[in-house]
Amino acid sequence: MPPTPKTRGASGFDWIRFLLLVALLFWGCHGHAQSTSVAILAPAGIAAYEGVIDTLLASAPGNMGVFDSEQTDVVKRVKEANPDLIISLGLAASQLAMDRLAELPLVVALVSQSRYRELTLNRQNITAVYLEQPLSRLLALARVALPREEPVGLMATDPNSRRIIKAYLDDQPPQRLVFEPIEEDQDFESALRTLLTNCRVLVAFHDTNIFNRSRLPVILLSSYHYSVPVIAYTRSMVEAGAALGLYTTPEQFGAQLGDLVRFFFRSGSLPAPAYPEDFDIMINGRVSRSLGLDLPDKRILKATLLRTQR
Amino acid sequence: MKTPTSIRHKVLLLGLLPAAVVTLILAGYFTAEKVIRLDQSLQQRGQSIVELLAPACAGGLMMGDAALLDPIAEAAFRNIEVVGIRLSDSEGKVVLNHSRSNPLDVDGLLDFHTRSVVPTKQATDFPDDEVHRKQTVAGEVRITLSSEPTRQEQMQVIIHGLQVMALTALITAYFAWRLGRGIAVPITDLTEAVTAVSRGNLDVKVKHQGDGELLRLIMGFNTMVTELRAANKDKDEQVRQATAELEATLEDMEIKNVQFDLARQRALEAAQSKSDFLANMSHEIRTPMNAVLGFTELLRPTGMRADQRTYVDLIHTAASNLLTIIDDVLDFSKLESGKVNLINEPFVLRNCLEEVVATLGPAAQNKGIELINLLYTDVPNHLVGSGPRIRQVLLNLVGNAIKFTAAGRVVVRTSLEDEEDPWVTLRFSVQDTGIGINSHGQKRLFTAFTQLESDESRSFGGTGLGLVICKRLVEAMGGDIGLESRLGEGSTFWFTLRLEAVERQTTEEEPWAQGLARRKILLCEEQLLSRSVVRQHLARWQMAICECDARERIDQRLLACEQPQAILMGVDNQDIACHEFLTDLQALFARTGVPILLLPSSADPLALSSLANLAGVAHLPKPILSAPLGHALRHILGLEDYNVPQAPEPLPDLHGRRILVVDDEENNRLFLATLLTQTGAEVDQTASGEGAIRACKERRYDLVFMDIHMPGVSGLEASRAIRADGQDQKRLPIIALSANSQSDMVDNALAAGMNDYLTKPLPLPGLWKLVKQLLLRQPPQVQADTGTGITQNGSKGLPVYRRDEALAQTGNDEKLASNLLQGLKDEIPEFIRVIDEALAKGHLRKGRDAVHKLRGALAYCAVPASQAAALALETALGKDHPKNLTELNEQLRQELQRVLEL
Repeated sequence: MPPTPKTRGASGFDWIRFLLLVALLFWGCHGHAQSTSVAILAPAGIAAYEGVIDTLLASAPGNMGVFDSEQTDVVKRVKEANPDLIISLGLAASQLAMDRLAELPLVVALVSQSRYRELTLNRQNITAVYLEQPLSRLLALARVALPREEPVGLMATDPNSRRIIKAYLDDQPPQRLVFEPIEEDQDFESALRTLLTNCRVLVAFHDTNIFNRSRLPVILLSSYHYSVPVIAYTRSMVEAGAALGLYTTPEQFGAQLGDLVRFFFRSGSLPAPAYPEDFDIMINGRVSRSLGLDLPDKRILKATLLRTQR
Repeated sequence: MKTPTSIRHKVLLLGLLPAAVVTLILAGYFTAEKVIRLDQSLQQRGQSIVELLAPACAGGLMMGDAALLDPIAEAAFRNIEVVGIRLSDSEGKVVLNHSRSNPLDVDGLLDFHTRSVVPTKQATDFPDDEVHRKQTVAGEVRITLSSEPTRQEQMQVIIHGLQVMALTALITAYFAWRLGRGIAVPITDLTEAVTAVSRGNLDVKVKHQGDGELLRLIMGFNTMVTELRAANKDKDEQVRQATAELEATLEDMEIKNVQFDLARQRALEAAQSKSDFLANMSHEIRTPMNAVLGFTELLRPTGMRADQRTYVDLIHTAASNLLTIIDDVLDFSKLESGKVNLINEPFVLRNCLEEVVATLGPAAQNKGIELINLLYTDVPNHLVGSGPRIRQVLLNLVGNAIKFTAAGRVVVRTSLEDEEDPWVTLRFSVQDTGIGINSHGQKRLFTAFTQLESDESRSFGGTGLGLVICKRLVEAMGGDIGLESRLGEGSTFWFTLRLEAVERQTTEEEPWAQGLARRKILLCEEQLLSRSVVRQHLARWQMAICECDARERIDQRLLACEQPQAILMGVDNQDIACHEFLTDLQALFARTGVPILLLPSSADPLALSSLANLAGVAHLPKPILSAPLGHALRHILGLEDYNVPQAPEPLPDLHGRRILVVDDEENNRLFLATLLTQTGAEVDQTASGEGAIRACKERRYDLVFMDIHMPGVSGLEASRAIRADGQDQKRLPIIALSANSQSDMVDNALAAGMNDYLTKPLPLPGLWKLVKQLLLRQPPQVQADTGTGITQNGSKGLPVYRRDEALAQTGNDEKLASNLLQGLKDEIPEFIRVIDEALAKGHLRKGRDAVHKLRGALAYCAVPASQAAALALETALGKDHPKNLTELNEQLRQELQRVLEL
């Protein structure tokens, strides 16, 4: 049976892409004994992942197989598909691949660095494209967008995030930083108030214990109250009330994964885990105006950031 | 609520009430709903305010910054209903607490509160990477609202609702009033006009008003009244014309009425004259005839030559015939004028029939005709009716049958035609083997003064009134009469009557049948009818009967009968004149030892003399009557001595008695006095009522014979005067004598205090019987009254109880007489009650029936005073305008009470 042709859906028609994905999944579920270069393992029905998959399918070479990581026989089908490479999107799919498909090369995508470290204990033949933005990039954005706002506040509870921040602090960063490590049992609001009192900009570094749907409103309200702009690492946070943010879109993740796939087939090996390379910047006009911020255009900000990061 | 009666009120109510009710309901409903909604709205508002404030206060509460919350509180207070706001953090610490000074209504405050929760916001772009935590509670938001504004608004709503209701009611009332007016006024006008028309005023006119049906109704009414007026006018004119014609006709009729009255008067006078003439003539003829018959009776026992005896017999016969003719003419006259009074009383049918047979038996025997009385067994024996009249009709018919039959037999049949308890329809028929009647004669037979035209029939004589009298009597008794006949083959005269059958309480009606039950009899009679008659009697007496229809078979039947105790044998004169027959008869007795009772068809003494010396043989001439047959059977069975009643009954022994005869007719007086002298009594005579009164004052008498019709003081007046003259005179027996047998005469006599009544010419057996009853049980006046037999007299001098009469009625059976009296006494209280009740309620007919029934019960108990009182009351009740009912009833009650005291 010939391999599944690459689908090039009419971009912008979500229904068509969904139907094609379903068709591909059914084909994959029925276990067609075809040779699949790359098996994409992801939970179905999540729009963000679909964006990644669509871009990946469009850009990466070889036969792509998309498998719903939540199906019970997905492992069998993946094995039957006999892929050369497995790309897992998200923590659950990655966990599954790690546990049940350990013998295959694996690219863990859209998982935070700290989670990745937990998953990959002494595992070989694996790499990752991290979910979060690098701290340096976020801090660079703070410098570029708000050059006169110092110190920059940081807070974290996650050990990995703390280590990264401490390492950055130890490396004599170009701007003044204020770091507030928060323990699990610590009064978060009080610690937050303390940090906001001591900084002029709050940079949100990836820490789901702090930057989650429960605490985010508190952080945003409090920072607004203290007139401290928040620089976020997701689009959602900017939409929720952060002054501006820097994030990687699903399509950008997809493109990066596509490059990785090409690298893999070209070199036969996997590159080292990396942060997302491409990114977008978003500014919350209301909040920035409310805070009296004079921010340049986001495109200028991106271009300046790219320049500074070269 | 008083129900309105006028149509205006009704229309008003009809228009107003539904609308008012609907308005009330709707207004009330909507007002109430509005009020409730205002309350609900207040609640919702309070909750909404507090829920809107909660998220707005989250940040300030979370920060604990009251300054952040003040604007929110101020915004909340812009709502006039908000009188207080209190914000507290998650630890319960009050961050802000504001309230209005002087809240409007402390009692009307409402609290609303809710938690202020920090809303969550999505932090990640990819779902896998989020840690979910529970919502953060920033604190609590509490507000206080005043309900005063809402209350005021509710009040406004209620007031507006009431205003709307009032306005709606007013509008509805107005339209209802308009509508009512539009309907009620025309109808009221119309009603008044109708009332005026009903009172006769046809000059009314209703004004045209309204429209539609009402207007058409008014126009129609006006048209109708106009036409009525015109019709009335025509009618009045017609009435005037008719009245004039009627008046003319009435005048003619009045003239004719006067003429009719005069003619009627003349006719009545003529009828009365005729009745008076007949009554007078009857009296005038009867009185000398009485003397003729009486003296011929006196002559008969005296010594005469044979030719003289013949002459006396002829005189007696001629006088009897003349008397019969006079009776017929009188009866016919009474029937013509409707004066026949039929008294319905209980009577014994068998006795009535046997009296006819006994009376005419000798006449039949003289002609050699067999007279047979056949009473069918299903015919009730005790009936209520006019027994004497039935007997009279039968005597006439049987007499005619015997008259017109040369040889053969005359059969009197009584059968039951119909029965409807207690009424029975009986058919009486008299069949003869006489000359018969042709059809032409049959048509004229029941016409007065008409006889059969043949020479043969003319030789029989008669007035030609007998059959028409029978016809009138039968029709007066409610029956039918007719005949079937063929010339030369005999005739059957029949009549039917509807009578009431009564039950008889007494058990011993036929004392001559005592001891005959279960006795075996061999009945040998060749004549079928005669055998049936004898069989009836024997069966009624419960005798065992063997029958033989030919003498030749008697031996055979004797064997089959197994030793009968007697033989009844019917024979004719030829048989008993035959020596051989007599020899065979003796031999039969000698052979069997069974006594023989011969039933010869003739009573000729010469023919019967040959039977005198036959041993074991008795004879009883036909016709067969129950009492003689019973006695004869008892005789041959050894139960009693058999006396052939050949000799006349001897005269009573009245020595020592003093009798007064009062009659203005010398011959009659002389006859009766002579007769009574033969008894040994001392007889005084007087020719007037005054003489009788005087005689009774001067001497004590044991018995008075008083003629009723006498000039001057009549017999009735004399009797009353005698009765009024002391206690002794109340007990003096007085017998009324009159040629007049009308029932009212009898009533008058008894009511005047007389004890009994004899019709002239005096029947000697009846005379002596009455004398014995009145005298022989009672000691002479010269002796002391031992009080035996006669109970003290009642109020009118009649005895309360006549023991001798009672014994005579029961055949000297004291036990039966005592039982009858006791039975009467048992029934008297009920009779009194029924009669009193009927009279009290004015049910005169019912009272009369009860009294009549009482009389029936009294008749068999010999209680003359009660009988007289009952008769007087019954007579009074029978009149069109009864009088003195109370007094007569009281009198009856007293007499009955005396009976009860016996």
